Amino acid sequence: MLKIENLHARVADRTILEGINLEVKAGEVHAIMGPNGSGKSTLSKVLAGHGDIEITQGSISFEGKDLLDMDPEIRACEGIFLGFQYPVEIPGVSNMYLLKAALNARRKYRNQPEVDALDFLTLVKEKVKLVQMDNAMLYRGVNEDFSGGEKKRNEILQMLVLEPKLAVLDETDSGLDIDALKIVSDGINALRSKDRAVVLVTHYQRLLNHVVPDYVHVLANGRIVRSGGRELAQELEQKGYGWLEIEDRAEATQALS
Amino acid sequence: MSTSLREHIVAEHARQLPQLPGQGDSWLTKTRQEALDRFTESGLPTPHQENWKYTDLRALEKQRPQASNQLTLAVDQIARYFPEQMHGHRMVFVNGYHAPELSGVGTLPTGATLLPLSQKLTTPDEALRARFNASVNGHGNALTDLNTAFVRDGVFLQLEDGIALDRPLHLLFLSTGGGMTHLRNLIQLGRNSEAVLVEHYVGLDESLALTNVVTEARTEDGARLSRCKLQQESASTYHFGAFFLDQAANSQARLFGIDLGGQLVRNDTNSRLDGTGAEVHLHGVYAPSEKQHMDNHTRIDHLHPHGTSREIYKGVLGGQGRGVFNGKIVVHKDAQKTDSSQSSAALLLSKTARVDSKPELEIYADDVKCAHGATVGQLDETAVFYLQSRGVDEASARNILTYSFADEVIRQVGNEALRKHIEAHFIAKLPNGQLLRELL
Repeated sequence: MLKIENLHARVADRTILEGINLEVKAGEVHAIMGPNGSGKSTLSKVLAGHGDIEITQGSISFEGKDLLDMDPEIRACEGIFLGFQYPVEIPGVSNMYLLKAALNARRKYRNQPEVDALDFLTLVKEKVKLVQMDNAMLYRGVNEDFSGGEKKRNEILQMLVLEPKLAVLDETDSGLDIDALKIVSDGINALRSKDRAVVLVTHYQRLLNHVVPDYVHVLANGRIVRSGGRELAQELEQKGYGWLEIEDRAEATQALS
Repeated sequence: MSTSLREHIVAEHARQLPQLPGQGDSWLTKTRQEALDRFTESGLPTPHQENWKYTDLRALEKQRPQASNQLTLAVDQIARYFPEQMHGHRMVFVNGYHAPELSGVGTLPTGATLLPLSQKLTTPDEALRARFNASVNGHGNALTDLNTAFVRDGVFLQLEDGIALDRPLHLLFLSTGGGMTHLRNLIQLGRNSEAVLVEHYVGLDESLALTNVVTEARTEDGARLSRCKLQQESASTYHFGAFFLDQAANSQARLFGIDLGGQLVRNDTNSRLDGTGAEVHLHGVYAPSEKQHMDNHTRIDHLHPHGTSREIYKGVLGGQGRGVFNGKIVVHKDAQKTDSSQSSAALLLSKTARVDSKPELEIYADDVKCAHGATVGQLDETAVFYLQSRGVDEASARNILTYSFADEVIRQVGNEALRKHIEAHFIAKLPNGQLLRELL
């Protein structure tokens, strides 16, 4: 489904990714872990098409198509969803409105008619239950005055309504209490199927107790330095990132200069 | 031989005077003449005056505006400016002339008086004399003087104590074919009375017009006034709108100013909280694009204790649009326990748009709460990306965020029909706004 080859990327004049190789097949869940500043968030933004990141080398294909050629909204319509680490507040635009606009954008892209109002309402109400959000929140501004946990649940709600082929979740677990973590995990598990794939970007392995990944990759200094199964995450939890002898980026930069 | 604008105005006044209402009345004739004299003395304001620093009327100085013509329009030419489902008492004016054939006032509650001002001006009575210029009273400028000298029509609304106007009063002022129009609205709300007023200014074609309107209002103890001024003049119109409100104790005013049209727009919105516990909410949205210039000067005077004022102005500026916001709040020495807040925010959608924003606080009391803040910025690119990542194209994403910015004010417009009308016309102004309408 997703194939990243020798990806190099930079933001402004700082190189962040230095040769990422990763293949994600339908049905799989991959976890990408790594210390702060390792490039995890940049990788997820690259997949969604963030304009501030410049790709200097390498390629990404999604279902055989060149992903780097596509604008962010086209990627979304093709079936990629990015769950934001810091979801944006948009007062004045209701959650319902955004969900409907997003769903209809996809349908238009596929030459399907707009969603029927009643079907849409039924769909949303069903998904809202999964993330245990109050129906009234649907009619509030997007993430407006939501708590950190509510924002993350709202991301999961959007994901469930949009049913992406590939969901990339950037630190969706950060800042969640145990109950919210469970709700978010249940939401992600509800999306899992043989036709879909999930990439979880996370700092901690606690999310992986609830959403069990097929593969775990450790990102450091812009490269994947270790890949393995679920046990790799557990090992990291016990031993810390130091165990992998990951250099601090600052030190590495100093050594080079 | 070329004449100056002042000479032209004097000649134009002499020419129009025989047709203006109230000819036989010495008080009105004198009032008009004194105002004309003040105008010829001062001339139009210039950027040397602090209050007009950013709004240059030199282009207007070159014009020689004549009176606009009395015209007959068909209802279907203007029906699109009736907000759907508003069902207001409607009074329509075309080029400053009352147009009864387009109006639909319907039945008013007992204790409510609503008349075209021209009727009152023809034979001025005590009620008129007591109200006319009473709120302007030393706070006006050259344009209010011009208005006094030339005023032909407008509305006179009076509510007796305890009377609530059952439906909104929709005042539709249409302009077509160019020329100058001077309107005056006089509003008197008795104790604990209540009214929703919509002042709606619309240009029907692109001819150069000058609309100069003064609205004076007084709310007696406990009265509630909601006033929304919606300005959709043509892109070649000079629009001057002054509003003077006197608020007695415990009266409440919710004021909105929405500016979408006009070439050069200047609003002076003033409220005097002249009684204990009076409250004013003063909100505005201005959206100049292309070469439009929109200037909002507001002034709130807290004169007595326990007054409350809330002010939010939002500017959305595109193209080479220019905006000015100057919000003055004066807390006088007796106005203890005043609770006041002001915020002004502007969104620049292009590199060539510009806004000058200035809060002015003068506080002479020591036990008060006054907050103010001003921001100028661009759209949040992270938010644009967020919407794109959900499948929304970039142009629509920008429109959604722009709409969301202005909506903080627009959504506070209490009347739903009016709010929808404002939203629709605001969205229509955005580039590719029709896409957003589809999504909404």
